[in-house]
This record gives sequence, C-alpha cells and structure tokens, in this order.
Amino acid sequence: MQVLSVVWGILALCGMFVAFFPCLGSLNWKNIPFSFVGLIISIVALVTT
Amino acid sequence: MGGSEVRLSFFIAWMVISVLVLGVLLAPIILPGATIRRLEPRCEWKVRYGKECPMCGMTTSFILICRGKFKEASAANRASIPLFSILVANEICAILLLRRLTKEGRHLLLAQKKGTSTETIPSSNRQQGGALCRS
Repeated sequence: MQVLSVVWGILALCGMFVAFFPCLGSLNWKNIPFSFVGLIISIVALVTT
Repeated sequence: MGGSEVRLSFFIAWMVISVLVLGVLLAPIILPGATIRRLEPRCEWKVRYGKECPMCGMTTSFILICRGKFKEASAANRASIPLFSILVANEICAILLLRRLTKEGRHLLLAQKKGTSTETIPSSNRQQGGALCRS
C-alpha cells in the first residue's frame, strides 16, 4: 500500500511537470482528481501500517 | 519505508510512464492519422492568440516519422525527431532492464525451488532481484 501511494505520488508529480508546458495546462483537470485519489490511498496506507 | 521500497516505487512509476509512452509511439502506426487528429485536443494558444506554440505540429510530425517521412516531420516541428529519439531510447532501456530483471527473477525462483542457497547467485543479481521481489 505504501509503495502504491509513492508510485501514485510520483505519477502525479510527473503529470504536474507535463502540465507546466504551455498548452498542456488543461492536463491539471485530470491530474488534480488523480492526485486526490493518491492522497486517499496515502492516508489509508498511513492508517493501516 | 526503506530505500529499496522507494527504489521499487520509482521503478514501477518509470514502467507505467514507459507503457504510456509506448502507446504514444504505437498510436500513429496502429490508428489512422485522421482518428488521431480527431482525438487530440486543440491548442489553446492557437485558438486564443492565433500563434503556434512550441509543441504545435508535434502530432503531425510523429505520424510522419512513423511513415518514414523525416524531412516533412522536421518541417512540421523541429523538435519532433529529437523527442521521438529520446522516447524510443527510453523504451529500449525499459525493455532491456525489464528483460534482465525477469531473467534474474527466474534464476532466483529456480534456486528457491531447488533449495539451493542464494550464495550461488552473484551478489549483484541477488540485490536487483531482491529489490523487486520485496513488494
């Protein structure tokens, strides 16, 4: 679970850096909900371990 | 959370990104050009200001590269050929590493089945396989 949350965080960070490019900013509309799911997974991982 | 788990996380993230990149590289070969152009989002910069952004023409050039028209691809976007080369190099590295790790993992599994100690396996192999098996 911890590994999954770290993987999720890395992918969200990559998405954020890609969304910094001009014209690709709309990727944040997908990246923010994706990161929110990652946050929930991280909280669950933190609580269960 | 140990260092090996962080390394494993980075490895998995890299593999996920590599799979997505593979999709990007294979899409112009599998799908027709018109379908890809219909699926791609419109450039906001071009719509609002009427000017092309640095990434404009990248889809067209990727389609052209896959059809072997390198001159036209370079004319559509100058950065397309270097970007395409970087993405292909990334895919080659990912596939080679994955192949090596699966081979080492198979060796470890065989050693465990036979009941031989891991001392017979080279230390470099043991470290790599161990990092991936510990999930």
